[in-house]
Amino acid sequence: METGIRRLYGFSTAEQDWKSYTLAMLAFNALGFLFLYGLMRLQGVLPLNPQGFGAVPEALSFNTAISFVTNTNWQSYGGESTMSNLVQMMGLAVQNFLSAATGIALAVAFTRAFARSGTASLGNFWDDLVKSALYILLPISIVLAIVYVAMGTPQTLQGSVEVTTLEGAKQVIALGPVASQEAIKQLGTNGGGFFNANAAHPFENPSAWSNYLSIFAMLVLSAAMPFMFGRMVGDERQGRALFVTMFLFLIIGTGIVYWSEASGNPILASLGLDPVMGNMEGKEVRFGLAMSALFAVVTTGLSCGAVNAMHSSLTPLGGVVPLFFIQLGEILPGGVGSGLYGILIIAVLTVFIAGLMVGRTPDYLGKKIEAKEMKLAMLALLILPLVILGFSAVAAMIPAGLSSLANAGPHGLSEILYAYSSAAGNNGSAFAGLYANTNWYNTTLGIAMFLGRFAYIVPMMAIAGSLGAKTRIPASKGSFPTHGPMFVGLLSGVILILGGLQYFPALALGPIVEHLLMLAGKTF
Amino acid sequence: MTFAGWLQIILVLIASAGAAWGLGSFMAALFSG
Repeated sequence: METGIRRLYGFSTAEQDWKSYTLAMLAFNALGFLFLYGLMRLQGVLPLNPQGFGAVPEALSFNTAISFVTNTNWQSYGGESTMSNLVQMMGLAVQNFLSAATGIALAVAFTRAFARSGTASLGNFWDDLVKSALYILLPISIVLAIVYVAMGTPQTLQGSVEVTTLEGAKQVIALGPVASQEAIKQLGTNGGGFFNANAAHPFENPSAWSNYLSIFAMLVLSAAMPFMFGRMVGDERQGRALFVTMFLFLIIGTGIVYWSEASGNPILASLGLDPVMGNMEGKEVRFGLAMSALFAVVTTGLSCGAVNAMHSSLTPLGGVVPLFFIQLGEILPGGVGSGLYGILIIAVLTVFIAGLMVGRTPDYLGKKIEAKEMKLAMLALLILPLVILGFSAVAAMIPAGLSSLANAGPHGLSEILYAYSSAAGNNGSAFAGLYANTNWYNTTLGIAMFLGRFAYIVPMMAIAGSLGAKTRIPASKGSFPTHGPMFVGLLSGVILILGGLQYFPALALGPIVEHLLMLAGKTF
Repeated sequence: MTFAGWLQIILVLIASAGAAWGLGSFMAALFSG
């Protein structure tokens, strides 16, 4: 099948340097954007449209096409009331596969920069893309989709059914090819739901068991990336150190959200509500507090963005963890592929800082880290705060940004901050409460998604090109060990300090002050 | 917070990590070959 695809598209499997690899990736994604945009604009005249939806408006098509090409899956629309089955299957679901495969290919190329010595070649983009889709994403997705169907998720080309309720009223229930989209949505850390309520909808996530499966599917591929890295560079301990760092954050983050939600809202308790249940607002009873907390942390530690509870309804401290995890750059364990190359850039920064502290030339896995790599790493790392804080600041000042808010005060600021963090971090989850289907938000969030993905990838690949060309020097007594607890601690510290310095002032004005006001009896 | 809640969290994370370990080995073989 792989050979057949190669012959059909006629691409070469010759090794590429970082520029050729990156250009091939950019060209492929540009074509994907144009195809998806065209498909939505022509929806009204295309088949498999049982509900007869018209063309998707220009700004929304622009936003959605960028959103799915960048693996963000931010949705300024309700899927069941906007997109035809054709767009869902041939456009959105296909991009779910391709954007995830792109992420894996890039992470593999970055890994080769460390695994290889003295060569400019990083592999072949087309070859890596096909292998990712054909041998990893497709087979696992098929199995997952069948299990979802067995658990009660619909998989049909029927648009909707009209039923009579117990009270005698007529109700239209939306259906469609949900299970197939659900599988790749979770596995590829895409997150875009078939339904507006995403994984809180009983057809997307019918039971506690399907919820376990969803969290498992979200985590498994991103968590596999550091193990792959360790194997490919010939030292499994290196991969384990990255994995331990990622999961430490996940467990601590889940603990904070779970504790905060279990503690509940003191304002409601003072009104006489039983505080034993904790804060169940915006959550599904079939999942409960613990699995809602874990889902919220996993979906934002990854760049997935699927939600099984409304993040705007989390307590302020419960909400600050998902928001901060997105802002940390989606590396805990991050999106499929993007999580690995994201944490490797921080690892490069960490060994540089360690080198400064002890006065040695820093190296990571035998590759010397020099001024060129550090400049490129800073270029990649600074694009996220620039986009997130820049757009949030503007939106918080102009009528076009403020008119979409459902809540005033610090909660309103959190809604804006979350939207741009989610877009630039390629997460895609929404805080809820912000009406984003406006020209201002569709356009600026689209730009944020584009920059958050591609303005990060280009310097990252330039680092890969630079490191790949360097000769790998064997470890000596003077080398800083990057596989033990000390490195895990140092890497965690750099992640926290970097994130804190960039985002603490904004978080202090949003969820943190909201928490203090909640304790004082004021809510928004 | 309850014991059952934490048990669910830990079991899901362990299952994911275990499967990820195996999948990581497969991916390394796939892309190294």
